[in-house]
Amino acid sequence: MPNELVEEQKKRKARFGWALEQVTRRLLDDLSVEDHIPKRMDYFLNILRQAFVPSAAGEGPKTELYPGRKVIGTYCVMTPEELIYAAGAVPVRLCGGSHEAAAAGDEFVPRDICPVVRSAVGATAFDLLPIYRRCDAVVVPTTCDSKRKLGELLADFTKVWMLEVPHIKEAERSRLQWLEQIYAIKNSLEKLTGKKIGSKELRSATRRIAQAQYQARRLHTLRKADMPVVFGKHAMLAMNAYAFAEVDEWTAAMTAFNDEIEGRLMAGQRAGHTQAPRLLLAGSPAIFPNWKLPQLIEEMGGVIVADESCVADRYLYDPVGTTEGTMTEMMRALAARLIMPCTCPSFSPNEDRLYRLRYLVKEFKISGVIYHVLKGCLIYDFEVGRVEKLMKELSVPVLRVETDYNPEDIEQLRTRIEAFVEMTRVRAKSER
Amino acid sequence: MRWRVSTLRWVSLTVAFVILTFGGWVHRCWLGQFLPTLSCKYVLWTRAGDCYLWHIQRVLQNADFDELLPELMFFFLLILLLGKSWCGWICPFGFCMDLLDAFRRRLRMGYVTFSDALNRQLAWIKWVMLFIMLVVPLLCIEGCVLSEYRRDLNVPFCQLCPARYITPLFNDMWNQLAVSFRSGASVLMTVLGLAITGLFLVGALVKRRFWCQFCPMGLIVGLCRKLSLLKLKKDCDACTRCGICNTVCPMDIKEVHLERKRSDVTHQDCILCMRCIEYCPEDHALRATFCGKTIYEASQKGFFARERSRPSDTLEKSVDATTASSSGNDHAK
Amino acid sequence: MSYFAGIDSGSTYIKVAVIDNEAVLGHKVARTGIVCSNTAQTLLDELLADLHLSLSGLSSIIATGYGRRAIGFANGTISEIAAHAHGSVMTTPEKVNTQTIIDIGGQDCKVIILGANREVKDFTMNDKCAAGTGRFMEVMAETLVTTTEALGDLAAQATDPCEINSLCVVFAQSEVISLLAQGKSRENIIAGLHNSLAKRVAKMARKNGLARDVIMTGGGALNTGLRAALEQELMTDVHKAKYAQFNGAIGAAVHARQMGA
Repeated sequence: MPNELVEEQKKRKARFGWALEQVTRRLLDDLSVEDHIPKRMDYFLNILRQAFVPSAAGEGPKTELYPGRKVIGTYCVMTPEELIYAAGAVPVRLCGGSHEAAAAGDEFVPRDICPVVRSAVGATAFDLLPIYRRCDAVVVPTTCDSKRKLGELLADFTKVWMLEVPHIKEAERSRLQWLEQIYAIKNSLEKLTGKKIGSKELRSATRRIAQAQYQARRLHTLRKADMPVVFGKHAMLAMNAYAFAEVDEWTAAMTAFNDEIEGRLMAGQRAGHTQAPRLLLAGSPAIFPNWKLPQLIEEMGGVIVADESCVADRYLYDPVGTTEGTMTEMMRALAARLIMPCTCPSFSPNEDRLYRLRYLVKEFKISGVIYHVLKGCLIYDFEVGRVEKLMKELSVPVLRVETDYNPEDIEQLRTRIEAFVEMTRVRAKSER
Repeated sequence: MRWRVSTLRWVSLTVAFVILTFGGWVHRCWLGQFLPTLSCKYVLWTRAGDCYLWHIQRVLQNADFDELLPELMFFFLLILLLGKSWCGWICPFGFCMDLLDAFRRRLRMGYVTFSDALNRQLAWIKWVMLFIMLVVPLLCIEGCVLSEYRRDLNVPFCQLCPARYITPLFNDMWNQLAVSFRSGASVLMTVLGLAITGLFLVGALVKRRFWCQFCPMGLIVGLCRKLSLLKLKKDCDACTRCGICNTVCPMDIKEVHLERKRSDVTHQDCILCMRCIEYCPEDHALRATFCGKTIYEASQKGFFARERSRPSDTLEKSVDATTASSSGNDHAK
Repeated sequence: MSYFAGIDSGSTYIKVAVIDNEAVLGHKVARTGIVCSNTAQTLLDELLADLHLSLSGLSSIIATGYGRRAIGFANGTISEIAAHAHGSVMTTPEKVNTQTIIDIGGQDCKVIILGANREVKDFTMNDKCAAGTGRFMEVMAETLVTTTEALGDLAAQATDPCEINSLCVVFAQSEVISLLAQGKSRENIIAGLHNSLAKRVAKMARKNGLARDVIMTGGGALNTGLRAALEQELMTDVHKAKYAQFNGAIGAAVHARQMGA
């Protein structure tokens, strides 16, 4: 039930919308001509173009996206996309990355909260991106405070299904309660789409997503190689594009992408300089079009070989494991995969994250960690101390970078990151 | 050749079942009366080996300890050799339950899981079974408290064990399925036994391997797991704690999934069916070892190869592309 | 004999330095102006003239500082962090083994921890606001009708330093004015300001674990009062680097020398 905009809001919408379009168009154009960009990146850039720059796609604003199907907006990785596909609907990840949309959102939400949520609010309230209003329903997990209140706010604009993610996932009662919620989402989906989700549909959907997950893991493994052949800013962008793509298409495109990366590995086509330090981008996710940090880091000479972003490496990592096609087991397996291996700091305790970071540092031979904290992202900031302690044990330097979507602090970031890259390069050299 | 471990296990269970239940047809086919598995004596002349529990009870009741030591040695030797895989790969009663489970899956029925609290409360039952098996015969020794019930309480555990009522059926022997009216005690025991049997038949249709968490043989073999040559090991660094091993485990074991420090995760209840290894999506996170050497290991490629076994229309291309570049399979070495 | 030049193109001042294989030959400073590249060129030419050297006689020129990328005629750039670390090789006073560099520049302040080989081990920067920077002291000096150069001596005469609570330049200024209205002496206020600044910087320094010995660079090092306050706060000697203000430029030149080697 979208709110109709009043006249003066329409003016602001026009201004914000125009700015958003300009920025993303420029960014995508810059990215397209970048050094060492894989040829197969086209598909992913186009997906993002279609989502963000409607007029660039040449058809004017899209009047009807996904005609005849239900579109379900999702936030966070804990939403069961398998069920959405099983119901014949399309999931779209709506976690926001736009500075302009965040500025628009300032009218509705406090300025100090995380820009991911502000951006989502701005995009929805001002109808800045057609996909936000196109959603027939949105699933909002209660991961952090901001997301929780976001759900409440979005109810003014669209149908919202809250998913109460247990913060303490070890407890048995939490898991049971979570399973109930997944069943509830299933019922809501069935009601909305008018389609019954049987075990066959669900199994088929899990298989389709498993293909995508396999390609995501292939990319993950390829980035482990001693010689980096793909920049993190490209690899992460390809993963990010999944938010707006349909799974089968994305899988096919990713397969080709991976094949190209493999080809590069065989041919020895390195990305970055020989002494470029191998970096891990940790902390709050960098969401397109907030591509400030990945670009800056690699511009300054580092290569991001690993990340723990929920819109990149972690997006499609955890599969559903089921031995039989029964509804009971599949729902159980689905509920488990959504939260058990998840290393989002919205969980307390979050030991799993430290283990994952240790694994990443070892397997990817990381020489430096850049810990990204979005302004207002309390939970990631809270864990900085623990991560620093872990990295000290592993003798890996950490740079905490606090920023938001505003491009004004690029120069300060540049200095810090350049110094950090230099520092890690010298360290890595002396350790060799 | 690509063999899935679960297929291998079915083959092993079938062969073991056939040999143990019908091996007697083959002249001189005898594997011993000290087998650490529910290869029931009541299958009578067609069997090729005995469940040791029957003999232990007889030995204790008759206080006839001459043969005890060598037989116990063989018993424990067999346990050490194969560990809990006796339960998952050989036990004829396990095979029966797995058949029922397959039937359940065919009907696309779900299954029941017990809560942690319930599992804890039920844990004492197998100790009661062990008690009945060891202590009651001792109490029936001439001159002891229950000696007058010697006959009625002969092999007390076997009178309650569901394997004793079920496995002879495969030999067309229905005479075990009866209440014995010889005396009050007999009535009690056989009624109990039949009730338990009925319970576990139905139970195996709704809960995977329902009997195994109550089985005293499983308990004994499980107690020896630290010394066994066959173990389940975990690489805690590779594990993402996704919980798939817990979902697929017929015994609902959580400890494999939750363990963070130790590498030996062979659990008391584990039947070493290796489904956890088969379905674990992380390379090397779980593995089965024999004498310390890895014989089967979790594989990411294997996991996803399985998910691709039925390609859908739009995926032909990506399937071919990925199959070409992967040599993944999950066969046991 | 080879000659190397370093240019530190800061936001307020441009500093240049020329070194040879052994020593610092000369240095110069000027306000940055609008086109830093021009200012840098002019400044370097003047310095070279003073030293009777020519531009072509220089083996290499490295630029650092915020405006480093705009210096077209430089052969390369390095970050200020690295520059300061390199600079400490030549600016460390005798008998001091530098492990920590506290740089209080015009618009930012940095703490750099060095490793065993004088390489950068860790660093903390504050470049988000003016608290703890030279700008802070400039504004306060102006408010108190004096110059930044005089601050050190004035603070030495303080009898009872005031407590300044605000870290923010703007609010601290208001606080200073109200203290003046209360009749507090200029000396005491300045001493209080130094303490406040020192606290701010010390917090940054302690974050990475303070490693002795500590040297101070940047314009702030010239302020004896500030240095004393820092020593008090950190409870260790804080040595003034030689050519403190030019540490960055010298470091850039040292880097040039290392690259050429």
